[in-house]
Amino acid sequence: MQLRRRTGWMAAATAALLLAVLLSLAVGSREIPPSQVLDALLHGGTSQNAEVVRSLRVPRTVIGIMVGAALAVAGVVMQGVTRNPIAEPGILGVSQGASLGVVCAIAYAGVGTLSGYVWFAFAGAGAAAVAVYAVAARGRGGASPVKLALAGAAMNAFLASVVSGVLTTDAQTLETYRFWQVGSLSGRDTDIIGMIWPFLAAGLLLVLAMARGLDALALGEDVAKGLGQNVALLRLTGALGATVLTGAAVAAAGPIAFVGLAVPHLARALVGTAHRWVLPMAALLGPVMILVSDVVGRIVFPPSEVPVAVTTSLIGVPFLVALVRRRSVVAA
Amino acid sequence: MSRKHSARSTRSRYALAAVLLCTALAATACSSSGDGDGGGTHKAGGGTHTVDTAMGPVKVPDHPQRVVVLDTAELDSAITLGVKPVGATSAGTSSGFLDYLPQDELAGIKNVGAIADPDMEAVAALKPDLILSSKVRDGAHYDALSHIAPTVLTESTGAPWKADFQLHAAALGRTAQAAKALTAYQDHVAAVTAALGGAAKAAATEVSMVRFVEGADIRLYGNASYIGTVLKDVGLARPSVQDVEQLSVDVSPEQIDKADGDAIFYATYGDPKAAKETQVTASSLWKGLGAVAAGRAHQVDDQLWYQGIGYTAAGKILDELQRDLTAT
Amino acid sequence: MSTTRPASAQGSRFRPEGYAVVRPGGRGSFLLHRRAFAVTCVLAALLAAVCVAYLCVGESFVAPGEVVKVVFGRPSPDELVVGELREPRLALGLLVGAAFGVSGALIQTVARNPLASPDVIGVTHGAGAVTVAAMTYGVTSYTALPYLSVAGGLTAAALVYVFAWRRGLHAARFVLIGIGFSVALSSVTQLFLTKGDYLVAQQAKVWLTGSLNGRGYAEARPLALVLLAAVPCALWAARAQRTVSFDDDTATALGVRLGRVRFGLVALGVVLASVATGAAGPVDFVALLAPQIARRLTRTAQIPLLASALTGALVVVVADLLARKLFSPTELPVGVMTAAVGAPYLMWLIVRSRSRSGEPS
Repeated sequence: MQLRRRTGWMAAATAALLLAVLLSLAVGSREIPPSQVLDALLHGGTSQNAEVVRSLRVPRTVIGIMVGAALAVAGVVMQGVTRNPIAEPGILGVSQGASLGVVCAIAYAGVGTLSGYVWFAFAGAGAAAVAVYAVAARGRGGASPVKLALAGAAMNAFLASVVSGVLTTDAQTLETYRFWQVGSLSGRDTDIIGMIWPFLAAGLLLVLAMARGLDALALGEDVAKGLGQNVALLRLTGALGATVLTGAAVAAAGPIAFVGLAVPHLARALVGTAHRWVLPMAALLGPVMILVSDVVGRIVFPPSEVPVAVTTSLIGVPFLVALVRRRSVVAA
Repeated sequence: MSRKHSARSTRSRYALAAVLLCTALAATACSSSGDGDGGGTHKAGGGTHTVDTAMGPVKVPDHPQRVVVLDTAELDSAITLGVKPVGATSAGTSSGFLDYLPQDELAGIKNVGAIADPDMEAVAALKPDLILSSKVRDGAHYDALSHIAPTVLTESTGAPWKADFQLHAAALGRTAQAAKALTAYQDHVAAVTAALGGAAKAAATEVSMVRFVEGADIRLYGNASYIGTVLKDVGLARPSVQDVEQLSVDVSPEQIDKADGDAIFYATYGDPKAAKETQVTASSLWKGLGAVAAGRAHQVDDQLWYQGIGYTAAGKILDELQRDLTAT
Repeated sequence: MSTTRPASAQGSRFRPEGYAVVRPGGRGSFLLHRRAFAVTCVLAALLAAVCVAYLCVGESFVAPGEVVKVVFGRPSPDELVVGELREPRLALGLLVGAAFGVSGALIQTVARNPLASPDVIGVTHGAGAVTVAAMTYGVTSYTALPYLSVAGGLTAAALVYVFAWRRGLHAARFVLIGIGFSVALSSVTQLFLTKGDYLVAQQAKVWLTGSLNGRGYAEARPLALVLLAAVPCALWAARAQRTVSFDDDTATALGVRLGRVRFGLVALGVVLASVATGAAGPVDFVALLAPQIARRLTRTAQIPLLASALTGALVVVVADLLARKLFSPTELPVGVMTAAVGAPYLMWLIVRSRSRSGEPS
């Protein structure tokens, strides 16, 4: 029964993803009839509408899928490793760390190409993740939700002030930083797809390989040890995987919050807590959330567009509120 | 634990003392604010005259010697009228002043900070006898500025640039030069219209203005913009999307076909990649635009066409318009 | 908490360690926390010294003698720079700092958590979002904007309060929901920044950095009025502060209506923080820092209100002094300085937190 229910939900999630992809291809600030969209995809064509679909909407949708999957899976891993229900790349300041890394690469190292600054994004994400977790885990009580969230908020504020303080003389970089502050799928380089996917695949494989370990960890550290898991190694692998996924997502689209928070909880509600189900489920639902948010952002203020990060946080906050209002989170 | 209890009355006294402190502060705040009456502590030689600014009538010296300009339009006006300011703000992404102005006329002007956020003490250190800006930029700083020197603010900037220029000229005491600049501009406009083949031909040419802006959508400039008024003066037509009484119509890269016209002039504010210029102009959608295919899409200087606002900029824009529109 | 004495049992017979009995004019007497008193005096003296330094230092150095002349209204060649430029800015800095200090003290007392501060629970972000939105929709009156940002701060705080209320107000839930709202509200702010007229956007960006540059009495006046109006409230707050930080059982036994008192204290704190934000933009983390520093200095059980106000003023004035001179000739907004110091301090607090302060109690 359980298995049937789970496969049922997986099928539903796949259908939802397909629908989201279709929406993302068909809906935009420019009105294109669905028949023309299909036509452009299947038969090519050189009309302006076909050009828009192929050269703008397809890459945008692909980036959306990649970023959504990366952030959602990173959220699952962060929540699993920290055993903390509100762990998430955006709230913990990891995304901001990655974007600061990108800015430093552009400002100091003179790195202007994506293949160059993606490493700086990883470094920034990793440093921020380690710092926030180290801060939150110190002291009695360990890394509780409140402490993690506060450490993340402090990290976000600190990174912002460091950037505007140190780079204040460099107006050009500051402008660039503003660009990196709001995650958006629009106007990103198409080459990004080709450069990001190896990192994304590596991160996803790494994380999938530790599904069993995450299950054990969910039962508590002692139980995990009793089950023969190397907890320290597990945490390290998880941190590495989450960092690579977040860094890649930020390098592709800038910081986007709340996807890593909302999606894992939704996935767990649908398929239970076993990570071999939760992880693929999150990888399916993450893109759905990003693509739907992006589509909403394209049509609310025509003719211009709202960056996807704005929409996801407006959609994501009710999730956080509902989550926090459940007693278990605060008492954790 | 009992310590906590007895602290109660202590706390009240502290609060009382806090009140007294605040009262004292408030009192000084109120008394000192009445002192300055926007009057010039620095008197320039000669008399004064009154100009009507966005903040009410202001008395300014007849022949101001040390002028500080806090925005690009004011800088253009001053240079046009032959006044070299002692201080100016720098524009957004570039650290220098407007690049189209003759650099020798800009040498020695002190940078007093960023537009809309000038450093008051740097302005004061120049001991100006006149400050020019607009309410939309420095309305919040008016108190501080008017203590430093008579401050003349226009309401806004951009589209009402001709009226603003007249106010600048009145404040600088150079109305005669202003009249000359106006006549020169009108003659120049007429010459360009003639060079384009007359009013009828100009009215049949739709000129599209595209600006790629970092961190924002692509802007198609409308009639209520500086550049829009210049194009109207020449008698050029605008694509219907842009023929509206607003600053700009913002579009996403998907709708770049709205930018089509008989000729396109495009500029970029900030980093071309972040402003999406690189991606858009490389796309086949852009290359499919009529004007682009016909080789009538011209990249222009953002500082000249969009940032700098005034008669000096207008003269150079007219030259480029004529050159580019008559090229083919 | 077990040895609770009735509130009336104060006076010379119960003189706890560290307190002195003061009898002004023979009518009644009160206890004075000696250390707190000394600390407050030292803070006031320090603040006075820093104020003089603030007036001396800038684009050009003005000798302290001239500064004193200007302050006391004597004619001086430096009257313009000191009297018209630095003095208004200083007055605003003092008031903003004091308001944030008191605000933080009140909110931290209610939340019983040193990590709760107006920046964390959405007040400054709410004020920011509404102000930027108002600017976008054409509100250019500099007298109206502060009121709008107060409305924004209050609304945001009220929303966080409502959503965090579930059979009582839980500090941890309050903070978490506050952080969530802060993120969402800064997204909304970004939205208005990108959608608004770009002239407006540039102005809003300057405001959002939290800067005292070019501001003065016009912004300080409403703030001063609110601080004055807050005085009777603060007197009451000082009294109520005590009962609120009892655990609920003790307070209920004493007959205090906790809900109402807490609500009043938080409301006062939120109003103060919103008005200060309206006056100078979001000057981050002062409300967090000041009460903590003050309490550590006085070593009192409660967060001292006056010492918090003085510390807040001190923090803002010193930060602005550094912001003006550190990267000279470029001037940093004061909010950047306070965030650069405050954010690591917040992290340090988290590191140091015992389970009681870092966790819901």
